[in-house]
Amino acid sequence: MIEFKDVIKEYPNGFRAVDDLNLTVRDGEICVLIGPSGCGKTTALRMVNRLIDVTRGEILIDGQPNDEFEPEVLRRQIGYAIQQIGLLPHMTIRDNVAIVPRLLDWDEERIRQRVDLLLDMVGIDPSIHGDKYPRQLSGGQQQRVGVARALGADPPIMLMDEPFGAVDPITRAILQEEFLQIQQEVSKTIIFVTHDIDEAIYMGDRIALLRAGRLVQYDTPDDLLAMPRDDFVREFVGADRSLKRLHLISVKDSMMNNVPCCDHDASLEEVAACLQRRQSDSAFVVDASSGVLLGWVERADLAESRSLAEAMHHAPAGSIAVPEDATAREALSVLLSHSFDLTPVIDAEGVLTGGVSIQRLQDLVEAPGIHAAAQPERRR
Amino acid sequence: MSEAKTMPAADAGRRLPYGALFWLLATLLIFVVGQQTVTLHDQEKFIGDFDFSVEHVEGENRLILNLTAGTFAYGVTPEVILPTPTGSFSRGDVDAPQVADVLFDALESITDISIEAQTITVVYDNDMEAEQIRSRLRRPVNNSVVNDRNTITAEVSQSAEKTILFSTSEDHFLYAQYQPALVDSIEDYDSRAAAEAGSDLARFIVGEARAVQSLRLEPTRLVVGYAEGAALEPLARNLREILNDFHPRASLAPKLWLLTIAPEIVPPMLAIAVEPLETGLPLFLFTLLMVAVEGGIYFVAREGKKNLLIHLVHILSVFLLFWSIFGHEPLWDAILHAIFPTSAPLVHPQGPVIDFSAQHLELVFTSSIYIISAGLFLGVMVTRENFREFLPLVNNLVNGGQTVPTLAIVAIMAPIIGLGFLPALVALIAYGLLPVVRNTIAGIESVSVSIVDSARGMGMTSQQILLRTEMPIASRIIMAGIRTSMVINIGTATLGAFVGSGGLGIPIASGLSMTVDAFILLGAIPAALLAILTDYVLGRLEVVLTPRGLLIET
Repeated sequence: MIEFKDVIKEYPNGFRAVDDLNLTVRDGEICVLIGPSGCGKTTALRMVNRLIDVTRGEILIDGQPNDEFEPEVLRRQIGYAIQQIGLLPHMTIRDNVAIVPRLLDWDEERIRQRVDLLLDMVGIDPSIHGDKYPRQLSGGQQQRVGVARALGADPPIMLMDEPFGAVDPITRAILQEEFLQIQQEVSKTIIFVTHDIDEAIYMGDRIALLRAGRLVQYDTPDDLLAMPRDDFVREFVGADRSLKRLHLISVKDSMMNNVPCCDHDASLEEVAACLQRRQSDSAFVVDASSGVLLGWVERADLAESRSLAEAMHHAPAGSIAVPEDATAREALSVLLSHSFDLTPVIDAEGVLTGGVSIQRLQDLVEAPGIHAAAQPERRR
Repeated sequence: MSEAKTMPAADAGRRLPYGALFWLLATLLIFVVGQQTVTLHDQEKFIGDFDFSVEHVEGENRLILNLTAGTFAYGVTPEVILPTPTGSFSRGDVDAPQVADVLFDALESITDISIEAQTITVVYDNDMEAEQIRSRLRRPVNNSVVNDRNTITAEVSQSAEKTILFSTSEDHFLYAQYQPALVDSIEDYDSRAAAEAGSDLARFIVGEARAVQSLRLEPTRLVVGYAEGAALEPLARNLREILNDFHPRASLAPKLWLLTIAPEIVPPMLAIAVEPLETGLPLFLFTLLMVAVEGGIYFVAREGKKNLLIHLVHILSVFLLFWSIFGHEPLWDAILHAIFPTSAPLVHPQGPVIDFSAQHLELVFTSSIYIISAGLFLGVMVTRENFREFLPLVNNLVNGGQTVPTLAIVAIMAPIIGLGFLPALVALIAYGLLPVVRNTIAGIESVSVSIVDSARGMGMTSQQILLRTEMPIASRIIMAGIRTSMVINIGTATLGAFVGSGGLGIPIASGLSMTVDAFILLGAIPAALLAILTDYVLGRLEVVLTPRGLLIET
């Protein structure tokens, strides 16, 4: 647990980079510090491992003030990853990852095992890349090594200053996802600085929004989007905050289980009756025995056809449906690109399990407090 | 991946085995040079330079002078006094006496020489200053006659244009010819009386040094027993002067590392013939060995796998080759004679090239050690957080050091700390500091802030950041600074000769003052070669010392 208590950073010229910051980061959580440039988020981060000294107030790490440690001793217990990565160009990848363990005087065999484990974890094959030098790796690979190095001595706390800032958006998305997977395994207490609200919403368990050194709002991503405290927050999270919220909600939480559907071997009359009963213009067609989504049928087609097989539109499930673990945002996207008023939801086997309607999404976005259910499911 | 793996092999295929070719060329050159017989005429030498290390035998009143330069490859068994040659001679006269020949050789512009009992008249025909001509002729005249030099005067004739008169206040010039012979046996005299009855040299020594009580003469050693209470320092100095006075001609034993030359002394001309092939054999074999070594490295070790050892072999072997060539005195003589066919004395009187080179390197290395340690210290210090405010000051200081001409620093130093090694050293240090300090600063500043930040963030102490991060990354730039500094240093060190620090500046300085172009080259060529050699060696070291990860191009 990291606690900022009345922390002030004031420079000799009177400028307050961090002004009376109170913040608690719980164990195993990712706390994202975000705000416009110069809001003090990096300063706040760097005060944790004493790269910058606190002017007033104190920072407690597991209840112990961080200035009770020698700075070097403290830093060796805290992982540190930065945007520019800062790999040492004259050392091999292995040696880079081994820096902190070596500083801690681990024995070489243990270091070797740890380094190989970490490189594997971040998706770098140590047998291929381990003895290369940083300049021989791509930007994305270097970022991965940077993360592995920060995890070097298995520190309980990690400080990450825009660690995925220097790569292209596609690589960044992959790295973010992979890092969340790693975090599920290692469960570190992380302070994560970014200026990208999407990254904050995706990565953060909690987001601390700072402005001119002051904490404006500290909330879960969903609450931040649903209940921005003031105009500044509202403006900062953006006009598309509803869309962003959809990103946080999984299809599973937003779908209706009861959707109009019929078996593939049903007669045309049965289908017509079903449509009539549901007051719907279309229904999904599923395999009678397995429940796998096969396509859909529209009321208008029934009259001219002799059987359901002739009337229905065959479609591979992937093209019209979204999987259960997709976000509501993806469901909306599918909704917009097809003419249905429902997006079908399928499970891993392709079985139709429900549907998401535009009405349902509207309800969700307008209602605060769905995060309690939605949050844990967000991580895939 | 496969691309990266095949690259070095393809690279090696394109590259020629330069190392082996270099040594093959060296072998051929040595073979060809070895076939030449170089003849050196000791007669044409100036004042000799015997030098000794003095050893005092405790409690025995005995002093041992060990020869460290020159050999007693002479014995001045009686000078043959020649009849005074009189008459007028012009260039090309077959029957001109030796003294006229020597003078004609010394200066091409001499047209006529007339010799009388008390005067030698030299007529020349070019536009040189009379003063210069006089100084250039003085030495050959002095060397050709046996008279006390103080009795000989030289003046520019008032009556005839372009004429210089040499005259003696004695009855007549005394012409003589040395009849040299090798001292190869041991002469042992247990008293002054015995020595006075012994050989010329023994007689001369006891005649000049009153404190000498017994004497033992060996080819490379002189053992002197002295009277109780004699002052040792003056005695040793005196003995050294006596020996150099007694036989003013330097002997020409080349000091070599790999080459051995058997000097063959041919009286009466005292010529040293360099034996072909046999003499160059060790060097010849050495270069052949290097061809094999280089070839082996080329075929066995693939490009990029060159390790420290191979680099060191390169450095050492090239250094040895250079040094052997430097030590080949007859070769220098031959080269200079090829360039200046008519000038007579071409090997410098004060010592062989290798001695100057050694002094030169001593000066360069000593100053470089100070430069490197001071430069690194200053550069590292002013890049530390606490001392950053001194950065402009240090920058200005080292810049200033290089702006002030070295000669000026030498001139300022000389009255303060006197002449010799020290003022030259101080001047070189002041001059050479700039590239090292500047590159150290530039190298450390080149380490990106984010690298230092992440190193600190990982918990490295300031010292660990300096040693494990900043210095390795800066090493290449720092080495380049050291290289620049040392190469400049070699050129600058020649100026040290003006304050008596020794080194290759001596032949240059005396060549300039005596207008003997050959001497200038005798200093300039080795200095240039030394600079090239140093540049090569440091270039190799740069590659060795730069961490591999930094050599990868991005």
